[in-house]
Formats: sequence, structure tokens, C-alpha cells
Amino acid sequence: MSDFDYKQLDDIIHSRIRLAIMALLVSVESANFVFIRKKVNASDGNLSVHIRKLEDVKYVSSTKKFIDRKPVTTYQISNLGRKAFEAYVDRLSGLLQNG
Amino acid sequence: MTSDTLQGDLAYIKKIVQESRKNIGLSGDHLIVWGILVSIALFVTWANHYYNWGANEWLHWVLVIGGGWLFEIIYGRTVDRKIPVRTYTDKIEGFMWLSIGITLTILGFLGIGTDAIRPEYISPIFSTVLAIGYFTSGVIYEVKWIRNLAFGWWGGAIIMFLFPGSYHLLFMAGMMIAFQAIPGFIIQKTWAND
Repeated sequence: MSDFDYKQLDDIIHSRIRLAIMALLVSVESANFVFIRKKVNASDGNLSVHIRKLEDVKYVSSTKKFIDRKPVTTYQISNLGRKAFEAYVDRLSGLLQNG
Repeated sequence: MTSDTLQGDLAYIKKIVQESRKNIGLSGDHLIVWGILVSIALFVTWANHYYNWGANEWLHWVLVIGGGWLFEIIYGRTVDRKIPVRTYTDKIEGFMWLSIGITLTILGFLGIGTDAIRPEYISPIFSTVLAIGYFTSGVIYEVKWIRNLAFGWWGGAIIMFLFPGSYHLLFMAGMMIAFQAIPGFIIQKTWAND
């Protein structure tokens, strides 16, 4: 097994749960919090923390609305997030090829 | 960090992307409502001709089609808002059916109203347009039986073009039930909890 320079990878995306969120959001137009939670198998608190990190760097944007008097938050990947994700996957593939 | 870890990450990304894209956003509700609404309207139009009721067909169709569009507006503002995920496929499919609906409304009212289309040929024209919708939906969602419904619509159109007559109202009503309303129920049952 070879060692890789992990510093070449985007720290924000390089966490299993944030990677899952990004991979999910890059393949859909939008998804709500509950859907993402089910797909990435995370708890409410854990997902909130990680999704907040992605929002802080503007990789993901959110829209809040009330449906049947209940708050529903829907998430979308931003152009910046999409580019960052593509770069991450390219880098990952590159590291593998060079390894 | 090892190549195994990285390969695992790439496989993980691929799995999530594929699963998310596979999400079927098809809703049978639209097909059921339009299928039943239009088949009843076609039957009433046929009965109006056959029994010489003398009812105003334009008013009848304005109410039916207007009712269908009203349903779409209400549905969009209530049920559609609750959809937990919207894929790009759903977006394309939704806009394709919207454009088909607008096309059929124009053909039905202005095509016949301006005498550009003879009334006995409106059903086969509708059939060919609906076939496009089913074929494309089936292909983009990778559901063969939905794609194959198009052949039913095209086949029906060929029959109605070759053998015009007032029977086509009943024939088309039957197709609306067989190739629209019933598939709508199947879709609703199959993907209601997707």
C-alpha cells in the first residue's frame, strides 16, 4: 500500500459524512433535511453540524419554508460546491492513478 | 492514507450518486386525474353525438380541461411542495409533461376552433403526442413498461388515422383508461413511498 499526500484533498469535503452530503446533492437538484439524513444515515445533530460547515464555505445553500406549519429546510449544492466536488473527485482519482 | 481508503471513497461517491439519480419521482396522480377526466369527457362527447343531446361541447371541454389545469395548480402548490427530493430527471420530466399539456390544449382548442384540424383527427394527433411523453419518461427513468406504453399510443393513433369515424371518441376514452389511468395507479402503487 502506498501513502498519499492527503493535504492535496479539500479538507471540507474530506470527511465521510460531508462527502456523502456533497455526493448526494451533486446528483439532485434539491433535497430536504430528512431525505439527506436518511440517505447518509446520520443523526439530526450530526447532520446539522456537517451541513453547517458546508454552508459556511458556501458549498451548499439552504431554503427554509413552512409546510403544514412545520419548518422544512431544503438544500442545494452551489456552483462553488459543484466545482469543489469535481476538483475533489479529480484529485482523488489522480492520487490513485499516481499511487 | 492508503489507496484502499481512496478507492473506498470513490466507490462510496459513485454509490451515492447512482442511488440518488435512481430516485423515481414519477407521480401517478396526474395520469389518474387526466386519464379519468378526459375519458369521461370523451364518453360524454360521444353520447352527445350518438343521442343528439345538443349539449354545448365547447363549454363541456373548457370545464374539463380547465378543471385539469386547476388540479395541476393546486397539486403544485400543495403536494409537489412536500416532495423531499427533486432530481434533474424529475425536473426534465415535469417540464416535458407541462409542455405536452400546453401543446395538447392549444391543438385541442385552437386546432379545432380555427378548423386547422378536423375533429375526427384530434384523437390520433393527441395519441402521437402522448406517446412522446411516455417514451421519453420510460427512457429517462429506465422503466421499460412505461416506455412501451408509447407503442400502445402510436398503435392507437395509426388505427384512428387509417379508420376515421366517431368511434374514435370511445376508442380514445378506452386508451385514456388503459394507457393513462391504469398506469397511473400502477405508478402510484409502485413508487408511492420512494
